[in-house]
Amino acid sequence: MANSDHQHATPFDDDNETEPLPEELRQVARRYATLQVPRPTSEETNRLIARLQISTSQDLSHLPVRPPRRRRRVSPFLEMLAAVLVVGVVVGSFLFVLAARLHQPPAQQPAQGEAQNIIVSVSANTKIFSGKPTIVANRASDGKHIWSYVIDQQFAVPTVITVQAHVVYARGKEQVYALRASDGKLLWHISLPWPSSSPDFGHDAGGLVLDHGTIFTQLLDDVSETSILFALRANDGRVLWQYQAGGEELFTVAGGKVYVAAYLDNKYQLVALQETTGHFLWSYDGAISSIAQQDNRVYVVSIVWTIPQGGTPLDAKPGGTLLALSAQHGTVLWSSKIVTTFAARADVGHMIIEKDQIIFFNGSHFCAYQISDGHELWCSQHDPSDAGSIIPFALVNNTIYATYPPLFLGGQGVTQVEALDSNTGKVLWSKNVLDPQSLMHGLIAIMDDSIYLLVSRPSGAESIYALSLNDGHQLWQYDFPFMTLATAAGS
Amino acid sequence: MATNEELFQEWQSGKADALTTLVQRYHAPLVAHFYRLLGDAHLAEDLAQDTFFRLVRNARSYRYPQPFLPWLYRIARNLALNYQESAYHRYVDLQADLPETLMDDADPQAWVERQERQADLLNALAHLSFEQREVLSLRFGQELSVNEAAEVLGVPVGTIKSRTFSALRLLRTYLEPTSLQQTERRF
Repeated sequence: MANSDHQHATPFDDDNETEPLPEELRQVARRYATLQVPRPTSEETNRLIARLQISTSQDLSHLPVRPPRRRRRVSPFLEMLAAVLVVGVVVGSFLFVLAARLHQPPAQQPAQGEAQNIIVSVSANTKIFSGKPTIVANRASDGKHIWSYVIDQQFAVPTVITVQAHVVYARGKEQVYALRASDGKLLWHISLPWPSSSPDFGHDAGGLVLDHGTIFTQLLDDVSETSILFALRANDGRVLWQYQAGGEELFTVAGGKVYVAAYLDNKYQLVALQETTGHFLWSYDGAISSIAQQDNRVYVVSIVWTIPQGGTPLDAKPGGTLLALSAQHGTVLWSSKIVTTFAARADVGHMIIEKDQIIFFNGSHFCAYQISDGHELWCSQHDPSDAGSIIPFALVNNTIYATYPPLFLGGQGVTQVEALDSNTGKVLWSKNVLDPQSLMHGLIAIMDDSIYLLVSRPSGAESIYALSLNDGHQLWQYDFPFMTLATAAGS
Repeated sequence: MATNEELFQEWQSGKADALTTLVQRYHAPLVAHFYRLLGDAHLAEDLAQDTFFRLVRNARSYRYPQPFLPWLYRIARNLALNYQESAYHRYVDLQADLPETLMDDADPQAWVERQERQADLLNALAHLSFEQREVLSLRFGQELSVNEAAEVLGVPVGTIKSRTFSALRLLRTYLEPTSLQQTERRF
């Protein structure tokens, strides 16, 4: 029985890469290499191949099908891949912070001068930082480090974080922490209840949203394909109510309601719940990728993948529809077909409403749609080399601020920050952030006339850049001694 | 020979045979890797299969020419860690079972000796941490170079070297001296 699994040169004598092992350890290594291991037969491998082929075929053959979930969040392992994932987390955090801020009642906004804006980040245990996971706060005005909080839970490192109403909320798997934003003091810590044993909380399902004194967060168990939305009392973390959404992981809180994408009774739905009690209000049948609410209307994007006749599952194309629903009853007010690209999914197809238009990033372009009937007003002009990248953006004072990662631009080392006129889609200005090794980035937030950007490098090191909102020039840079798992900003 | 990255890209483009080649390349190495990590042959097979299912499930997140092997082993690592976590123990029982196929030996005396040596090694490995077992598996089981192992684990080359040293030192303290002396010089 062979003991080596790959056909490589022996690892014991490669002096180019290996410091010479003492003979006694080489002997141990040789002994280790004699460990006899099970080896699947070719029949077993062929059976696995057949099951994989069937499984991949089935995944897309039932029409309509949903676009894939957001990518799985994992602990640091390969910096480049992790960096890509970090962006997902950062964007997710940012989007939820933004969503919460857009819809928070004035009473929950911190009073002027009462608290300073901060940027909070969760460190990852990597080659450049081997300590315990830590939540770190930096002052937004100049990047100065303010406080740190060490997480004791080894297997529940926060991957979702937000700062709202002077409190930092962070969640790692089922563990939720609340820290005082001013000094990082632990206010409370709870473990969310879960009905089954051995769950695998691999996803960054949802986020953390504060609204009317309640924290909303969602957990998704990959093993049982179960997701639960929890409503927690912000004061002490007590669970007020919970709702099982059947494996989906998208929700929005607005206007006294919680809108949850769900898969129940063998169909995809948008479910509206009473915010205070979790009571069911109405549902709309459809696979939902984005949700936004304004006044008495809920706007959703539904993306359905279809396989062309005679095609294979890999030929599946996404078809998008923008719908306006009555927030009261869930009835369709209007619907409009929209262009979506391969990657227009929940973590990409983010939608923001401004005045009379809906701004949507469809996977490759920004597009604006008339809020009254959904007709297209404009789409931005880009020729991205990597359509489908996550393009975080924010809308402030009739300006869309978008950041394009190096991969989107077809290279490495340049992150582009762009300001677009939200009325026309025209580029107002564009600025390159030069960081020779940058691979990916995340837009953390826009606050106090500054754009906060997180840049990730293959080495694992990361930096926060603060740029002027007016012209994109750099205000300050803070280099983290670690890679972050989640980042957010607020006060 | 097509690279792993090229094959996965081909499969993403609809060429079913490409996945077949990848599975043929890495099914056995993954089973062996899981066995070295967790010491359970059946579990190793289950997790290896699960790794491939997760791989194809997340296929759309792969973008050529992102390195394939680190991605594959990253999925495997997470599955192994999830198993450990769910089992509420960090040090797993590496003496759980032996694959039946290991027992096909015509010489009973040789079989007994082999079994003793295997048990001795598994017993010693049970004293190592997950990270130590992992680096040994990659370096001396999967026979990855130091640089390749560093890339797979996302740690510097120096960490691989130091982790290898400490793992081997610890393993040595728990191995029977006679078993070390009997090790034939294969390399």
